[in-house]
Amino acid sequence: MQIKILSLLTIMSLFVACIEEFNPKIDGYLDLLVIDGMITNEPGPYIVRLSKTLAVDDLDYFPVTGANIVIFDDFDTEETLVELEPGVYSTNPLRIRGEVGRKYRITIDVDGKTYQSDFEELEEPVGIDSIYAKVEYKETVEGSFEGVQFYIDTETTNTKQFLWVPIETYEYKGDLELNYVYWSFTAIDTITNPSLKTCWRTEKVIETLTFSTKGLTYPKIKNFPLHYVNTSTKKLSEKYSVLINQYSITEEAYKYWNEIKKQSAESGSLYTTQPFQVKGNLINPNNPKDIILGYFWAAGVSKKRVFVEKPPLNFTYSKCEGNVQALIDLKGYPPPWPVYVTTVKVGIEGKSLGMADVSCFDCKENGGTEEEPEFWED
Amino acid sequence: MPNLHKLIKYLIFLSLVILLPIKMVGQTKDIILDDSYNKLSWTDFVIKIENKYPVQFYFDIDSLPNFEVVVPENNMAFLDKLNKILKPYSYKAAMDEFGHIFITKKIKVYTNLPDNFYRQQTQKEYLDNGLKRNDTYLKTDNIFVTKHRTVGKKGNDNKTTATVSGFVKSTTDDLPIIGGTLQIKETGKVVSTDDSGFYTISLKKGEYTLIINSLESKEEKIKIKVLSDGRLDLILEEKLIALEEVIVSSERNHIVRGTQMGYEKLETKKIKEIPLVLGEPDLIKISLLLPGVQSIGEGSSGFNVRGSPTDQNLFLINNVPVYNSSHLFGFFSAFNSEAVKDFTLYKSNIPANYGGRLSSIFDISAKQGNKKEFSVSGGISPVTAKILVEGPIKKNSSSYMVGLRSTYSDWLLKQVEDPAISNSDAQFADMITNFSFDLNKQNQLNVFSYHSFDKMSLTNQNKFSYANNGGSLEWSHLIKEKHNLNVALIYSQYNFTEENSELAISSYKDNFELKHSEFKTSLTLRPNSKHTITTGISSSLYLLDQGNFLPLNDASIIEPIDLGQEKGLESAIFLSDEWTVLPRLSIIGGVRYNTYQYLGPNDVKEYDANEPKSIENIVDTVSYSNNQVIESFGAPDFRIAARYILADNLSIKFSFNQLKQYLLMLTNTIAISPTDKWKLSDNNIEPMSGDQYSFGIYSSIFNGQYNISVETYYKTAQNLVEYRDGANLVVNETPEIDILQGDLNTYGAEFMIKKTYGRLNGWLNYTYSRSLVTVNSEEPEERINDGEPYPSNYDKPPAVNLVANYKFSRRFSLSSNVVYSTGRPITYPVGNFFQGDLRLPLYSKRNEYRIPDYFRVDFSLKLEGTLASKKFAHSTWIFSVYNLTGRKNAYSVYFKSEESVLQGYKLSIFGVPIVSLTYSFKLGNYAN
Repeated sequence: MQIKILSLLTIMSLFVACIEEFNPKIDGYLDLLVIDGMITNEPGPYIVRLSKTLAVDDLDYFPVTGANIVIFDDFDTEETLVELEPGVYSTNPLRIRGEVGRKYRITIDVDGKTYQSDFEELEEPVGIDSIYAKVEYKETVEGSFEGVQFYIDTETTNTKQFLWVPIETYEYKGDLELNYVYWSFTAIDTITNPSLKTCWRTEKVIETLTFSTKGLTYPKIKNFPLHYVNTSTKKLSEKYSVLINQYSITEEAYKYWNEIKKQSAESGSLYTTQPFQVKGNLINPNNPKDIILGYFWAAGVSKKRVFVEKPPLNFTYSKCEGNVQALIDLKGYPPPWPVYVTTVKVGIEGKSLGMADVSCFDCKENGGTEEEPEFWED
Repeated sequence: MPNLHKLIKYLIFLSLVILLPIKMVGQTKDIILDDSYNKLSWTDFVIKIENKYPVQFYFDIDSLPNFEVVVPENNMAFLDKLNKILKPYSYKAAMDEFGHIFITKKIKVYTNLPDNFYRQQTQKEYLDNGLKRNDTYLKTDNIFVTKHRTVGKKGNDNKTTATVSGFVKSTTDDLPIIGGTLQIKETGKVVSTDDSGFYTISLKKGEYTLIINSLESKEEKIKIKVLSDGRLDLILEEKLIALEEVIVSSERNHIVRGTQMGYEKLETKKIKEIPLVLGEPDLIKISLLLPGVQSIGEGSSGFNVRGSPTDQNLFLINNVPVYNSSHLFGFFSAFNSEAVKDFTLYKSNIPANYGGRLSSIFDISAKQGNKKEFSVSGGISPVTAKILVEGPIKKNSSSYMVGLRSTYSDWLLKQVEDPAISNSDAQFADMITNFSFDLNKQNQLNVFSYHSFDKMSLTNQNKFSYANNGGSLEWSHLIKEKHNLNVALIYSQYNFTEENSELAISSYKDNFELKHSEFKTSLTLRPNSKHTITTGISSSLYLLDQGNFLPLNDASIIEPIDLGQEKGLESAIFLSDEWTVLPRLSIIGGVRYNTYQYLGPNDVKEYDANEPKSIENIVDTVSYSNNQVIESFGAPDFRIAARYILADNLSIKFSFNQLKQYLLMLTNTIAISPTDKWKLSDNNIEPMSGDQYSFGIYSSIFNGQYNISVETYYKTAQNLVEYRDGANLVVNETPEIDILQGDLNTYGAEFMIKKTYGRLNGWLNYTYSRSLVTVNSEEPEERINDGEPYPSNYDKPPAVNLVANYKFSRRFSLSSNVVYSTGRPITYPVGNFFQGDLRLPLYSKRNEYRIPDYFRVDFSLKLEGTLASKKFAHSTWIFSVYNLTGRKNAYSVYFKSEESVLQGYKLSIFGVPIVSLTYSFKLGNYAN
């Protein structure tokens, strides 16, 4: 017996898992103390920041002043920190210096309460074998990107836990050549030697990068992916450099940072765990319910810097060329002075004047400085 | 009253006008039977008249032969001609003013109904939905009782009473009618049929009217004359009204008269209209529309029954336990509805022959093959194609059934914007086979197998595959025509493999396998009509391979880890008695004694009992040899249920239920994932135990058209398994360190109103329930939420489900679901703070907040092929829209630190209306 299944029209719309911004109304708020500090084997001063938690949508920073903060080592050497600016406490650069193999702890006296941490051992730094970049294409919910992925190889190590903090510095230029500055309709400065301004900007990569060599057959990290830089910003537009700070950390510190990383990375997936507050390493010994957030950690540091020339990729950041307004428009609607004016080519030979926002001319407006960093290689 | 009659008639008239697109003729003389009708087969003859004139024939398709019509040549009126045509076959025809033509055997239908007809029995719908081509209503009034049966022999003994027993079966497929009721009209006594369709009843000798009712068949009334003990087998005709019939069963009066509570039975053929995502009819997923059944979120696998975790449900298909009951991330259940006959969900008093899970039993029955004729059915939906083949091996005594289902494409995933999903692929398939043999009147044999398979890859970095394979061999034996012996050998296996290449240096593969072998026997004794005693033993051997964690390729330098094997033996002996104490009071008392042994070979860790479990506190690792008992548990479960009938259609029920569970799923994700492993209770993990108290009021009104129930429960579970914050369960050699055992307290009230038949049917339920977990300990690090109770991930206090199905005509129906539930609990940030230049969330206590409430409306239209009785194949189209309003229901809400801002996001799975079209076919006509 033969059965013929009819040819079939099937579905007309698609099933779409979608993610959208959503800020639920959260009325709860916990007022807690937060510590953020570390000691390394590099020369001091070592900085400890003391602050308070803020409401979810409060984007401020609430420093806590007037605390008495002391760092102890396992030989009971004390170092009292000095408050340099509100909430920022520093060691004396001439005195304490972290040593590999020693243990450190911190106590904080503030508002009549005392908090203290466990001892943290300063682990031995591990050499960085190499840092290298590969051109990669990534598809994410936000779209497809071209860019450069950084990788790290370490030397063989005894230490098992790592935290990497990349600090990137990049060279970039203003988009437009400045030809005139109009202070008013009549007061006009002519720039005699017009050129594109060059800046350098340095930023910390806001990404938690951790790895543990526990469970590996030999403790050498190879091809570990660090951060990714895409072409939707100017970062790769001229020359890019990154300084990798590699911290060798204790197992407890690793658990702390790795959990922060996991909660951030897995939170949008189908199989996510319920988030929870990661506990730091300070307690109030007199009142265990009085919670203080944050971690005081000790780490051995290794550093390595690499440079990347502009890769042959398609850049997608928005450029000022499209936003130049004809100068003629000035007549009807006088803008706030000064007005920055550039020369725009018209046809093959023709030229006309156009105005644009200051950030199109002055790269400093985008957070950089015109001073070339000392380490910069030309 | 006459006015009422007029009104009802008017309503009937109106509904018929809507129902039948007829050119109202009505006068019989208008129908002219000319020569063109001569020599047609009876069915063609009927179709031809129905096509040409506004009339409709009603007759019993099975008993009327398809003879050749010989049209009389004289000038008689239509009806007279018709009667002449039928006369040689002893049938008579009658026609009413609406053009309904009733063909009946021997008895003439009076189209002017008896005066008391409506009052006695029927509603207006009765005419439009029940009657076509059958003669049910003729039997519903005493006047028309036609059948007489005599039981036993005269003067056989000196007793005044006699026991009558026998099987109740269906004519169409010869399958037992389960849960049917037999009522002696004169005494009001009611008995019901068991799993094999068997009943037994004690009576004084004499004459009675027996009324037989069941979900599947027409109501039947027969006169019986009881002379002595004897056997009376009954064969009932199946109802031809599946389209608009009861969607969830528990047959008519069962809700009131049955002792069972917290019980739902769903039948595949009754759920086909219910709209479902992607047009895939899914019987098991329908249970989410029942009161007290929830899931974590859309498309997630697993069910949370009465506020309990997903691993506390036992899924059985023909006694074979299924350890992963979902396909495709959980969007579908792993059971092909085409091959499933029905399933029963027990969530309150669980019969003593079941055990091993605390929360519920999903007992699924596979279809038995048709013992009479070969048949093929199948269908195609946007995601799957399926086919079912069945037929007799030896006519009337043995049959086979093979059901196959498979995805034919994963094109769907490619449409998703999220590259994590569009760069993924997924396949699944399942197969169910069922062979049954009636060896003789006393012995039946059933050979069943189940296979399911899933393969998925996510962005090519994560690959999973898993499979369930199982089978059962069951022998049932009838003793002295009233007692039953069932023996079953069961095997089930579940395994998965996972490959993860997210990070080349530590890419890995992992696997898991669980083998379950079981022997189960039960004996049902019916010493008299007041007692049904069930007793038996069962024993299950579990072999678990926790897998090997291995490097995936040369680039990976992870150290291989063997996570070891486990062995456990769970056995039980049970005894229960369903005792009709008084006509109004019945009690089920049961006891089940469970034993469990955790067996070697194994090397087990022992921890310092005074300290929290940790690697440092391992005091010893002890080796046990093969089958050496490492740990042993034993405990009785007491199960009591009672029903008291307050009035004919009103009863109250109470039950107390105890259960034990020796197997748990290692999972700390909110939705269970395809890589969650099962784990046996051992020397470090206590078995779970649960108690449940339920109380309910049940009513059935308007001839059973409406069933109303209110059920309340309070449930506790001890040694519930929870996990430490941040537990990693993927590769964990010491899961006991990450496990924290606590208590689960759940309570709730479930209100349900169900309209069981009629043109409009369906149900509405409202559930208020809570589910709270407490994990407390003397050691602060062994507490969760500081030892205070917190809502479980599936605590959804008010939930409302509406399922409605409206039938416009026999071929066309419309259904809709409306689903509301409180958003599941979630942990939200209640603040933010800086750490290393990162703005991080400060989280609240566990599950202190809730995601937004869930609301969804679905809709579907079903179009049946023609209803002609003789045709090659019948086809059905279902057009459905899931999430009609396109509401972006939250699956989860999460926060990310971005550029020193804490940004919240909402993930929705089905954020748009999902439109689908499903086609299905079967050989033969609509009713087959």
